[in-house]
Amino acid sequence: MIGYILRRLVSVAVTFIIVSLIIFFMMHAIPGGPFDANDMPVSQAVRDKMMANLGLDQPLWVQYTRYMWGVLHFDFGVPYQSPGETVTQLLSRAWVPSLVLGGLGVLIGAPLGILLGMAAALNRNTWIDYLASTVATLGLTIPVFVTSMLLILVFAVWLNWLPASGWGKPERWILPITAYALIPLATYARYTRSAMLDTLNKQFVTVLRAKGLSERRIVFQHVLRNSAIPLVTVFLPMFIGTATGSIFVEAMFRVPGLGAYFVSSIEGRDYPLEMALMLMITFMYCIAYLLSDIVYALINPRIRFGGQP
Amino acid sequence: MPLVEIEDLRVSFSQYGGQIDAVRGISFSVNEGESLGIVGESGSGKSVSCSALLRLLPATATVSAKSIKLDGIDVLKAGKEDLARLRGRSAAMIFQDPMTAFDPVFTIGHQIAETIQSHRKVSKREALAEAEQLLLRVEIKNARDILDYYPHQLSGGMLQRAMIAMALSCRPKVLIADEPTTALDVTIQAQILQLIKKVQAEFGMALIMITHDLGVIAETVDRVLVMYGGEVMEEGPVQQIFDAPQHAYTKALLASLNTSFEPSRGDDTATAPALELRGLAKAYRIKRRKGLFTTYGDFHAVRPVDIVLPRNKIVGLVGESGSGKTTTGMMAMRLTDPSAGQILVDGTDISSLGAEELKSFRRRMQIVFQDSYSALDPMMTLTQIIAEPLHIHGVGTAREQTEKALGWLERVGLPRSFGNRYAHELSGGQRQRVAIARALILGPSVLVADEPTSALDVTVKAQIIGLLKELQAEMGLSILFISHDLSTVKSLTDSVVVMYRGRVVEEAPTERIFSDPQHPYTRALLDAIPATNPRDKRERTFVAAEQLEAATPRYTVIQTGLAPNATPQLITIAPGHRVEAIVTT
Repeated sequence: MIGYILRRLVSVAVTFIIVSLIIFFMMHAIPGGPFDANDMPVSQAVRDKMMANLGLDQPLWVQYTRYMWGVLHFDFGVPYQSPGETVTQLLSRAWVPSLVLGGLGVLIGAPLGILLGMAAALNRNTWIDYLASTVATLGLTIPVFVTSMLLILVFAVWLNWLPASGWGKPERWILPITAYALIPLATYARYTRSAMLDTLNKQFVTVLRAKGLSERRIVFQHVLRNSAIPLVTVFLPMFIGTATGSIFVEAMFRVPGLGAYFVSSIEGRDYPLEMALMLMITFMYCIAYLLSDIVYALINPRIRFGGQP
Repeated sequence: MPLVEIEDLRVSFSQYGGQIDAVRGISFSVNEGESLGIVGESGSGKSVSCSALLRLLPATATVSAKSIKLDGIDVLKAGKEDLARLRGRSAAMIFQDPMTAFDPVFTIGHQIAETIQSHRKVSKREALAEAEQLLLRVEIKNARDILDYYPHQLSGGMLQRAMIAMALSCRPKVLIADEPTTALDVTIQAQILQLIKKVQAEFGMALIMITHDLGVIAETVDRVLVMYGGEVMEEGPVQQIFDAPQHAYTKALLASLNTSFEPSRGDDTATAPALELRGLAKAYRIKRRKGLFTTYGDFHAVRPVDIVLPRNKIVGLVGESGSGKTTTGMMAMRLTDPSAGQILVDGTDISSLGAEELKSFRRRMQIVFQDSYSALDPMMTLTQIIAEPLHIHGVGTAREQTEKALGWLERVGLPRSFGNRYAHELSGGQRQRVAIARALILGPSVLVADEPTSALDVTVKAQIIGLLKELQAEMGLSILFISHDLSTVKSLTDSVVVMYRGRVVEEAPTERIFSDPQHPYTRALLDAIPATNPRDKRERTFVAAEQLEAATPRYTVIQTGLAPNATPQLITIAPGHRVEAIVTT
């Protein structure tokens, strides 16, 4: 097991380097730069000076090496769009709302989705199943900005129960988190339902029934654990992926989170910020897949003890 | 009062497009300690009837009966409490495929212990101790270790033993065995059947044996119920059913059991064999991981083998799962690349041909697989499937191809009107006929048939064997017939090659294999064939794998004219009869 984790860590590092290379060179392959003429009316000499100051006159590989060297020391540079702070400071400030929104959204949506999926699978072809499937399908097909608008319309405009947008006070959190939670809820419900149905149709479930085990024990001990095996590989990465929040939800409810920076950093060729955001996401996904593979091996004896002992 | 009492049981399944009546009014009873066999082919309703007894049918099933009583409990009215008593304590069940019958994520010990604990108030420790005792009683020697094993770490035979132990754990009054040996090798089947009889006597249980195999019936039961199309055709003491069958279906079943030798009529005068395998071997590389490092080892699926398939003859390739017989067949077809050796087709070595040359050679060699369902494209009509080889090799116009395909449909015994049907509309036997037509439409000289009848019902099996035999004579085919079962090849093949653990251990004309087997493994295979009449059933003694190795035949220098050699080698002891043996002084 330890050897396995070590091997995986090496592959995570390699992935990380490859992804950083791709992002860095793609970022610079987009035509234009941070100080283009129509954005900033300054003379060529001034522009050259600014480029030289930021090291942008160097060859790409030098820039890449310098940046990555900084990353190794947790120095992600200074964002061009707000030179008064470092990228790290900007991220730690803007990430909090995104993390609260995404984290709470997933923490609420995922368990509800799993419960919904279980209820649907155990009551197959009854109204519970149809209701759950409808909710899941609607949650997946209606774009999140439409559900956001509906929520604002109903609860803020018509009923006037909750503020329409903003952040800060906890009551302002409710609508964006609800809107956001619907995504993991729908996804998890669908996956859970199909995984559970798959397991329920296995021969060994019939055997468990024939042994005289109670239905409750069959479902909660055997079926759940077997269904969890295919699910962890999907759930953990999704969990972490969604924990970074949503650009759309943040825009709809005017949450001062990370979302806006994803767009503005690319638009403004804000190389250090863009790089930092992408590396952060890459890193989190790498760790998520690593974790899910470890959990997968832990709950699946066929991986833990391959073949004959 | 009988233990099991079923009167006028009817089961139907609601499906898209209506009701399917699986069981149409059957009645039977089982007394304490009695053994009842229910025999019938797939779809006859035999499994469904017994699942109804424990209320194990899916929600789509509608069950009605004048009465279903098990151990004095009305099954259809049983509440939660009664149901828990019925399942496991009154009746326990063992299933066909032990590989899928255990929950893969819990240990064997856990699964037996939880059964005990769900019926009696005992601690986990006590339950595990009891589980160990049970495993010992089903003749598992290292019972304590097995408790901690996960299902995937055990072989099918071991798992079926563990399954029996689990079934015994609550001392059931009746043991229902639903095709308990169908998924197992013949030698393992014989052991499991003997074990079931042993524990039945020890625990004083009744037994309901559900099977499609009359041999299993002859070995295990006192009374037989013959089912067909959801109805009981015939019922009686086992000896009577075998000696004086009344119903036509029973007679057909019995006829398929008693086969005789029928060498093919083909002439043997041609000099070059149709197919010759010389030193053909397959080794797989296996990774072994140790921390960050990887080492490689070789797994020898097939050690170098020499097999000759004479023109116009049928050679059987027999062995248990893992013996390398299928790999050998696949290599002969160049569907798996051999690690070493030559494949001579009509004297030409095809083992190193490139893709282009190989394609033209494929016209001379075709294959039929075991699972006809996955071997036929579900999106193509039967005509398209059968004509496809013509299309690939560019034989004739589209119209001619279709016409020829329709002709072949008739030739394999299916009406021309089937041409526009799809594979899922056919029965297993019909699908296998289509697969045979597809293989033979190019007029090959060699056919490799990889267990083409293993998935079929007995009566259908006999028909397919008959068809192969007929086509072989008509077309002058040479067939390599791969099977795990010696009794299947008996009436079909001219000679038999027995493989064991990747080696050829014996090779002889079919009649000689049956009358004068030399290698202990061949003898074990023959001994494991179930009796064809209850009169002939007997106690068997089984030899372990280590004993087989030790019992390798020995021949002296004088007998063989060879130099003494402690390593086993194939020795010719009679014309066409070779056996793996050691040469001693």
